[in-house]
Amino acid sequence: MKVARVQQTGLAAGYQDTGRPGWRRFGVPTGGFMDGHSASLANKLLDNTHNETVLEFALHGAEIEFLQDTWIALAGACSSQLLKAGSARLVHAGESLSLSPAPAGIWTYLAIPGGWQAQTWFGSTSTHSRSCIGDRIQNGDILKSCTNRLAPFESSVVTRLPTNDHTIDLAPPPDGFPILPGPQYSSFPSRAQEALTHQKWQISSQSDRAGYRLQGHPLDLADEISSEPVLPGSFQVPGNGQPIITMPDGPTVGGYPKIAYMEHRTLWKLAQCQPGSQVEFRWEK
Amino acid sequence: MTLIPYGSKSWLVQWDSREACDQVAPFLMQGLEDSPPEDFLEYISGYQTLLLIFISPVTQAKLLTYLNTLTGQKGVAEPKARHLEIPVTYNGPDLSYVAETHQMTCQEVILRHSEPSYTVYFMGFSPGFPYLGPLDTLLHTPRRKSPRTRIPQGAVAIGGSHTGIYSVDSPGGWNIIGHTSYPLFQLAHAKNNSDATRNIFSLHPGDHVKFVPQLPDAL
Repeated sequence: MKVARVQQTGLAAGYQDTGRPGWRRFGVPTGGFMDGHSASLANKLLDNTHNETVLEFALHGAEIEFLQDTWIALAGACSSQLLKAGSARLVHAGESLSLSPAPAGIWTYLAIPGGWQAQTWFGSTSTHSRSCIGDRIQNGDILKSCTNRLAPFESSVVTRLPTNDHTIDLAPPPDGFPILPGPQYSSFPSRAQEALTHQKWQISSQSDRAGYRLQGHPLDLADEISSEPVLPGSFQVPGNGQPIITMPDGPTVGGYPKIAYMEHRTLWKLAQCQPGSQVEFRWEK
Repeated sequence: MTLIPYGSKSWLVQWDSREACDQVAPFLMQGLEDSPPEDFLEYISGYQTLLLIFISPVTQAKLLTYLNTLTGQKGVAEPKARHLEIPVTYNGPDLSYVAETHQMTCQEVILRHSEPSYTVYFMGFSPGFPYLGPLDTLLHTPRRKSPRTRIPQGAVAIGGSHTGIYSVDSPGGWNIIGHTSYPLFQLAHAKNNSDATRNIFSLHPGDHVKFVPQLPDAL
């Protein structure tokens, strides 16, 4: 069923679900939600399963016009006049949702009951534009639902707010992001191992779903390696000594030595750190 | 063979050389596909590495036991590598640049490039992009200083000590020496979940490839 029209995608918009594991040996990245916690909350607010397809927006500026009365849920960085991040409500045909600038966070998720309709590629609807995998979203596109039951809740209930346990704190951990040694940790000079956790790094504006670039005092380099598998969360150190953190859409192999690795359970929060913001790391015992 | 932890749920198996990797990795990959260990998610091949990804933490001892079972039964899980012949028209925009760089004729580049049988070391960069080798050392050519913004699907190229084929239209920095219409990555099949991997990707890590020069129009 036709549910909405994209007036503006904003900086970037795409379909996302939990991604497509199992294809990395062929060079297909897993992809999936940048912030699985917020995406999961958006789905949960509508009693969807956590893997239902949601819309993912980068920063503010997106504008979606609804063509149907439907419940929607919003979670992540941005709120709108219609509803705040972390809540759900019934909207009517003709209403529009515009994402306002957020004080913190990058990624925002918009869910509808039963999920948005998009083609499944390698078992996932996630958009991976660089590989031409997954449906893309452009200005003017009509977005559809998988189900006609867009108002599954009693009409007397106008909004659904998450309970306190569901509020998601997007702020970086005060004592720094925990990291583990990467596969080439011991090839790096000890000065580099210390420098990684003894300075503040700035998230570069040249960051996207494939990788986040850090800017700071350059790290001393390790010897070059032959191309090897790369996991999201890896801190690759190219020749300029400025680490790049691999993200879900990042390449599956790479030739830069990896000094550190951030576990999936923390990476979503780093993903929500805005370009220009400062982050710190600490070696996890 | 060394086991290096990569996060709490993955292990990087590393060999001292590509040759050592060639002797064991194909058996491991076949074994992982035929009888995967508990909680195994997937593997990724590298030049002389194999990454084993699990969905929950696995101890080194447990992993070693499993790997020893696989490598101990030599020949039990015979790798199903295939040999493919891929027709190439050697008319790429960088063919003469590669020839000049190595002070040889275009014809010699073509001969040296189409002579060996290559192994698919690993795949990456984009879906279905094979990194092939060993490449004749006389053909090793650095990547272009400024990458092209769009390289068409099917471009046969040289990047450093590897040769490969662009499987989708994409930006890229390798030197393009030819073109093939051989279907490497069938995107349409990727939409059908039950489709066998061979229908989607013609090449798998460990396969062998020989380039067959097509009679040139341009030479």
